[in-house]
Amino acid sequence: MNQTNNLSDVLSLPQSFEFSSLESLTQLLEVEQKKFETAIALSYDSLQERQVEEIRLRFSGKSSPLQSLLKNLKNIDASQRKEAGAQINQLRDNIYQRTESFVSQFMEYNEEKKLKKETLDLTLPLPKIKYGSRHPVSHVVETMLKAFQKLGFAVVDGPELDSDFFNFEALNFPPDHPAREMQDTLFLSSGWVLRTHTSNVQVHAMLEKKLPLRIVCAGHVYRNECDLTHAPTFRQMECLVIDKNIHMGHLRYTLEMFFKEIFTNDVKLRFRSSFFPFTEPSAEVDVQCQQCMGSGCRTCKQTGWLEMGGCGMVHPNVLKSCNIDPNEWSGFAFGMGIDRIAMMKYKVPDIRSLFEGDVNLYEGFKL
Amino acid sequence: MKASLRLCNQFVTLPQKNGDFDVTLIKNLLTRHGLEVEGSIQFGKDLSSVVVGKIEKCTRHPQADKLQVCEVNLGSSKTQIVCGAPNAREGLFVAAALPGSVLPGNKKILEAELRGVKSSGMLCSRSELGLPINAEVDGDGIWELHIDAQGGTTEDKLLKNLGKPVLHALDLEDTILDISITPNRPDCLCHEGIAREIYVGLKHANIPCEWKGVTFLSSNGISEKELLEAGLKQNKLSLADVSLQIKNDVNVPVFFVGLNQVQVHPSPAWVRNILDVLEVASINNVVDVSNLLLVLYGQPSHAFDWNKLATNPDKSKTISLRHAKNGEAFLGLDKKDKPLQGEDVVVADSQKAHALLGVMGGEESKVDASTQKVIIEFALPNQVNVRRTVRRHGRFTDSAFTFEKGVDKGARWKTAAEFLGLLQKVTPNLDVKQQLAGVIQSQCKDWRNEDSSAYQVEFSEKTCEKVLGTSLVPFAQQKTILENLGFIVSQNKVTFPSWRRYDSIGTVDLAEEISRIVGVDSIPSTPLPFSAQNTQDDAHWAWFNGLCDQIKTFGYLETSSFHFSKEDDWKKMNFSSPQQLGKPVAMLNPILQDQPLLHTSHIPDLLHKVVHNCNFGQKKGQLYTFGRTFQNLDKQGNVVFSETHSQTSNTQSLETLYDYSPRLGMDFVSPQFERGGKRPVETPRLAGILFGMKEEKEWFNQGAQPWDLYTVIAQIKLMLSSHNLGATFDELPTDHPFRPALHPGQAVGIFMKNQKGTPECKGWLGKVHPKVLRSFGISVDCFAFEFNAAAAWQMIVENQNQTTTTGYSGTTETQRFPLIERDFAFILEEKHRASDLTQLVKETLEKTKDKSHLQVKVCDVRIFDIYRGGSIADGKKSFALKIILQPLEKTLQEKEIVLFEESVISAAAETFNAELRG
Repeated sequence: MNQTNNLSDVLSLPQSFEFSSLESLTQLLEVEQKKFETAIALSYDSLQERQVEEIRLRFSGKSSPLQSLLKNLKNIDASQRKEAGAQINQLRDNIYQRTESFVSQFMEYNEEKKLKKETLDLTLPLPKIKYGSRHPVSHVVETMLKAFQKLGFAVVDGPELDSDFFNFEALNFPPDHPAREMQDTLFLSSGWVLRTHTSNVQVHAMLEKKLPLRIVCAGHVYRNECDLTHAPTFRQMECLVIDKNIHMGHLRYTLEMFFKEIFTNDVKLRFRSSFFPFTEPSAEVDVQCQQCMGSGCRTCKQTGWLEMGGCGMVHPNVLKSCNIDPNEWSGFAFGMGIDRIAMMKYKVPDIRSLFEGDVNLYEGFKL
Repeated sequence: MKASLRLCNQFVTLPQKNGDFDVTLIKNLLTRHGLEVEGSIQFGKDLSSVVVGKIEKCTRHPQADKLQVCEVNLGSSKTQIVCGAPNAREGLFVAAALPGSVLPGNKKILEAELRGVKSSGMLCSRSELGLPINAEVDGDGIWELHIDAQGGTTEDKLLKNLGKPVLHALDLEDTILDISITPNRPDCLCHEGIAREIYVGLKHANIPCEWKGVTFLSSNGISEKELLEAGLKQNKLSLADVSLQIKNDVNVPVFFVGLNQVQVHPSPAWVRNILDVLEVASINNVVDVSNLLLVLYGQPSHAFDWNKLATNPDKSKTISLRHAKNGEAFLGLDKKDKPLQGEDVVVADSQKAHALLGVMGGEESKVDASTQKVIIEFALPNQVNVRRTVRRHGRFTDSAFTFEKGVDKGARWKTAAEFLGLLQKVTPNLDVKQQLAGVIQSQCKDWRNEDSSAYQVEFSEKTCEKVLGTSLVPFAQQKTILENLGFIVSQNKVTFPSWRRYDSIGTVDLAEEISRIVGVDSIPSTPLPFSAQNTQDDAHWAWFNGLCDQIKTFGYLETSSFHFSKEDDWKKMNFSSPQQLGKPVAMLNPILQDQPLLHTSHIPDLLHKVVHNCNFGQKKGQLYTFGRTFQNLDKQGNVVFSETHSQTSNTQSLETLYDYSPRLGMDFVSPQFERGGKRPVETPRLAGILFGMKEEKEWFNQGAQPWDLYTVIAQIKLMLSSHNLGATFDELPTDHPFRPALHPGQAVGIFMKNQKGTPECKGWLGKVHPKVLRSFGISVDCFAFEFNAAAAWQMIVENQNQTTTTGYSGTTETQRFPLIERDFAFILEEKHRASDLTQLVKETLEKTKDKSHLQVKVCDVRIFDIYRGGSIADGKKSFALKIILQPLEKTLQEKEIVLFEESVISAAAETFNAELRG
């Protein structure tokens, strides 16, 4: 059947609302009920929201036929008026209630239909949220500084260009000493260099800050070397403790705590005797390879150990250069290169990658 | 240092394992002592298929005149090898590389056919096996294994070894350790030193071993004492009536030992074999003795051919130790003729230089087959001078290396005696006692018996504990360790041995000695004592780090650079000179030749990085960097390092440098602690670059979107406002030094108010000038910014010093009454800028608020649309303006709101002749 015709048919009003007897009322009510049944039998899909509203108004609005019939009650004989009223009201309650549920069901049905249509293809590419990344080396620097801060170290900073005194002499590298050749230096003048290590910060701190000292610093250092595994500019970190009765056992403890924090693991350390002009005794610190846990792999070149850095007790000559009495105070220092650690941790294959600023590579770090 | 274990075994009995030296044990022991073994080579192992053979028959190749077909006896088998060497002949013992051998230089030996004749291998020369060559002895043919001078052995032995590896048969198999020697241990640059360390380690570990030592002194030779007496008492030397005088202009201790008659000939096989494995070329008996003493004891010496030194008219000879003349000629043993310089020290006769002292002998006075009389020089040149000469001339020799690190003075005279003893041993029929012509010296002493009080330190049971926190081993054992190392231990004093005097001399050093022998690794860990002091942070570090963390959240990727700048970067930047952003610092010895300067800005490097990305197809991105930039100026603007290559004079005004002014650099060092004069300024800067599109066309957007200036300003503003720095943004001053690199209409200054309330430029942002992009070869648009973090930090410090609280500046109360939002559209002339209108409206609203006594907060006044054309007259524009007010006491009535509206409309009309639209 043609639904549109059907609808206009349903919505059409009776020609007259007049009734004079119960019989004629019953007839009118039957017509109304029939129209109503037809209306609510219409399929939801055939109706629009506007039409549903029309149906609602037609059957349960203020000017619906049933309301008009009620108004015309006055015309019927008083003896039948009660009965007539009851009949109209019964149908009205019925229709009103069912109209309400018809409308709400239609709304619900329609909403569900709409939501179904809004189902998305979850495999489409997502919009990009702009969020950058720290440089892997910077990230490692901050991680390390935090580890030392937990141990009560203060973060200090110092210059990258420094005079020979701070970079070498005060650190017990006498002029022309072969030890200076351990570090290929970039010179600015006969007395000034690009710092070859962060140890110059030790000297500045010892001279300027109050004792006891417990400091850590990080930053760029420069060397006159550039090949596949060495960049002329790289970053180092080092810590220094100056206090009374400090000995090598304290150094070991500090490094154990530090590496435990860095590798979130009880790592095994190995100390090997070594030489640095500013410490004595001096040692190299190795950490058990975290890839193979000591059994030997490519990362550790089958040795089971990874070289981490150098450390030792601050040389009495260094203390003296910084106006500190070595008979009263002692201390230790530890330093390490960071770029290599970052390369290992983030599997950066080539040292050049750390300086190229390659968007594709860096986006992956999310640090 | 390359150490042969066979040679070490001459000094000390090495522990064995499975018929060979226990290499692992020795490696671990040395490494623990601080002599890091970086690698080891099994000398000869890879040549095991090069075997002893004997040529049984030799016939001319049917097709080639120069080739011979040899039938080679390999003991259990025979083989045929075609050989081109002229000395291949019947009966010769040869080194035959069998098919499958891989010779040095990755030369693979295969079964082959040479012009139709089968050849199963190759007969080798010494050089083909990677062994050093002495052309005079070895010729240019194959190795003749029975010749002693070629490092060979007896025919008997060779016969027994037919088919066995050649290097095994000649006792050349060895293990060579590559040991890294730290600068404090020059005593370990020789086998005696390495052997001593092994000995002490083995003793400590209770592994049986015996110190044998190596000496060539014999009862019929000359003792150290005799030489000392001859040198210090007689002090004269003459050979065949020609006497020698020393002229010492350089205060270098030196003595010469003269020998009247020496036969010079190739060294015997045992000497040559020692040198072979250490890759030292064997020359002749005299030179080899000198080289052997260096390898064994770390004691350099040099022999001159007496007859080749000039004789004075009075029939004497003079040897001078003097500075070279600038440009003086000298032909070294390396056959190179490089002009000398005034700083070089030479050993010269009366006419010319014959040696670069401590570095290299001269070709013209070298000892060769014609030599009869020799004088042997034992000098103690200045370490620094040797080091500098070596670097200056690029002449790296073993003796120079030893001299610059430090030679044991105490063993100098003994070495001379060993020289004579060894020479006697390798020279048949030489009687050194008879041939000794005297010893002449200048500035020499009996160093062994010198006063050693300067090398004596206190030693007690407390020494170790104080430094290490533990005694490690009982005191008696500590003493034993020191004694085994050669220290002289008395009651409470320890004297350093003569070979350990280049190390630092102190009590701590004794603790170090004991810890390295026992193992630093065995020191137990002790918790750090509690420290109450933790307020010594340099607070700027955390702040700078915060800036980086924040800029990252806007999508920037952090990059790192070398902090150098390319020579032509300034041109590419459209600057007028390299000094556009203040004077750059130049390196005296730049590592990258095209990057001789330290950078003054991060931007050129970031642009290079954009180029890198674009080259690889990455045409969009956001990069930032944080780090120091440098200027060759101190904070007052004085030039620090004299400029040799700079053309322009120092006339730059610091004011026009704005945020690049050295005055805005960072103070890392307090002036009262300065050492070394003026300090070049270092300025941490945050810089970033945005290149290419902000967003590509995607399925969810309308199309690709470019970056725009306003977004960049918004990013920087957000970053700075959260630090309460109150930055404002306005046109970059026209004389700002970065202007030439920026789009003239899109160059923005980042301003902050100083203590007087005047805005100062602390950085900039803007669109990069298309000219700059072209010169870098960048084809996408770029926006950039650079911000002087030191200047901003300075402001934070100053703000903290002020008593007023400068914390959070936003609303501090939750909202209780509905916000009032009103929109206006004003038509005004083009010349009026957005801020002109918003500033006026803000002020007007504040005034109205005060006048009406209504408690209202002006939350926002902003332009949300701009319209031109249509009904708007030419030269005019329409600004759509939104104001948002927050009532603080009560909900506002309509007539109260109108009060604010009307004040805005009339103020705009009065001030800008603005007309309210529609």
